[in-house]
Amino acid sequence: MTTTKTLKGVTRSEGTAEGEALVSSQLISHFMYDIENDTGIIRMVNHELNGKCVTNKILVYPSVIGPTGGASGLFLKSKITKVGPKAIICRRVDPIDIAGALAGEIPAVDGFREDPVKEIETGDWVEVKAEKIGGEAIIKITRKS
Amino acid sequence: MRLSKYEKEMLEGKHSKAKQKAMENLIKFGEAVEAEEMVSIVSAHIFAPDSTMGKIPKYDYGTGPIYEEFAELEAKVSVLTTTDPCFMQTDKFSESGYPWNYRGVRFPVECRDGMVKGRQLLDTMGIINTFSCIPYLNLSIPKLGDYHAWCESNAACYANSICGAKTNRENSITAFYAAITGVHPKHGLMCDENRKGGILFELDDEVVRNLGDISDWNALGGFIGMKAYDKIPVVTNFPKKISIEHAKALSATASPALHHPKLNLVGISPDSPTIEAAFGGKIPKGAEKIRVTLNDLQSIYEMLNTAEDSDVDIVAIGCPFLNLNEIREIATKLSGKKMSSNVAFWLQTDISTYLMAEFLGLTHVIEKTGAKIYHDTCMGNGPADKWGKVNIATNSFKNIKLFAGRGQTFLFGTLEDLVNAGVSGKFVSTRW
Repeated sequence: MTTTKTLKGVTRSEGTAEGEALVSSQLISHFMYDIENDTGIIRMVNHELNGKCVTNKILVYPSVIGPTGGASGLFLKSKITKVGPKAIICRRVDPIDIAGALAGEIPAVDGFREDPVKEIETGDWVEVKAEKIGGEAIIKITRKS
Repeated sequence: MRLSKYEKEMLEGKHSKAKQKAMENLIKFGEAVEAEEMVSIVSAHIFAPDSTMGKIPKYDYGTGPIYEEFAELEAKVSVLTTTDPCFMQTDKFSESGYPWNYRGVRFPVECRDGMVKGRQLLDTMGIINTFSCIPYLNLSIPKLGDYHAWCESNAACYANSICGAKTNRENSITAFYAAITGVHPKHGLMCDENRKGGILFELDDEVVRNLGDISDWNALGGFIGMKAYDKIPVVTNFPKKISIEHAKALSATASPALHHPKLNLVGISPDSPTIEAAFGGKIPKGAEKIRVTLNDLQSIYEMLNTAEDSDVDIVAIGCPFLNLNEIREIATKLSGKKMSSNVAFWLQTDISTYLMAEFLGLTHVIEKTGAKIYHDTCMGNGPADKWGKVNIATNSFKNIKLFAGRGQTFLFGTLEDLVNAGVSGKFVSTRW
């Protein structure tokens, strides 16, 4: 059986994307030593997603942790080495990740009434429609059970 | 966003292609963070260039392609622009026993070549390659009310809390665009309404009397930062004066612990002459108040000691970078001693401080003991995830928190404890 639901948020970086969700209840850093630039694999010892790969995922997490270089880390992985996530969804997209998503040309969305970290589960299929910065973004979540 | 005449002209391309492109990107960012206007900045502090400029992305910050794009547009910076530490001291690339070449783990040679190229690239844009995390102690000294776009957290906290200047711990991308245009969207700590205190810390008299070593100031800042998290802490019963070194240590704890790099230190921070002023006018009803005791400081020492045994592999001092006064003190303590052959004893500073220490004969005293002092880089930039299991003794809360995800274990202690650990190879805490 398939269930779907839709969440409405705010666009911080525009674009459309769809893919499988990878959800973290813990903060994430896109810095080069925290998520590898050549593989997209998370290297944060003690992190619940340590060893998991963000490539082509819709990455869902509360907000940022770590160096301000997370911005250029996200940009490099998204646009240059192509191992980054297809979109990021946060409770609050920190300005560090907003800058990375804008330069990396991937959508970034926050500002939901619900908690995206609880509403979305790893493995869900997520479609992101985020058309104009500051405008409404629509997230469609499809879950197979 | 409201734009000034000059900002509009930059956007229309009347000044240069580089400024136009940077303005376009800054406006997008400004709209995303809901900024209403730009502020004119006095200086920018940006990330160092990538080590390989894209050849081996594993060792790149991701700044290289952006810097190259703007160099091709013949970009020039509009304001004083300095750089944060980079991956290595390039002239000692082949020498072992440094973070960039430790236990047989080396950066590929392309990293050094990329660094040299990146340095030249930034130089052509008018950027000063300071490779320093303490620009505020030399060259780029913030003044009351200034706006800056600084990507270095400890520096941002010092500028906000000690100098009364206004900067976020700005991201590695828009800080560079700000260097080109001289403006940055007004957001976060650039806005007065976001600079007010949100939680009160009162230091016990006993804490004030006993604050001594750099490590104590790290423990104090760590405790406050972890409790305050996304609120700006107001700290009262604070000592009447604070040395530059202690202010630097306290400010550095902000980046890994506090979300916003600002401490409202009553009687010290220019915007916080009274508790009321530190809260932006009056103390909000129901504001949380935390009394800080010596036990709290001791608890941070315990939390930061994560090593399973007392055998020390590395002693790391200089996060943030050491100033000359600290190097002089350490050289005095080290003089005549011999470091254990099992220990890498690392002292970190910037090139201007290093050259002065060299001129004064201090680096000679330090290196004679087997310790190493270097500039431009720090342990946090090294490929530490490949070092295997190492016990690192340090007096830096920031160092430990930065490495928390990379698998090393730590011993946290006073300068005296660290020097003794370097000599004996064993760490013994004498603080409590």
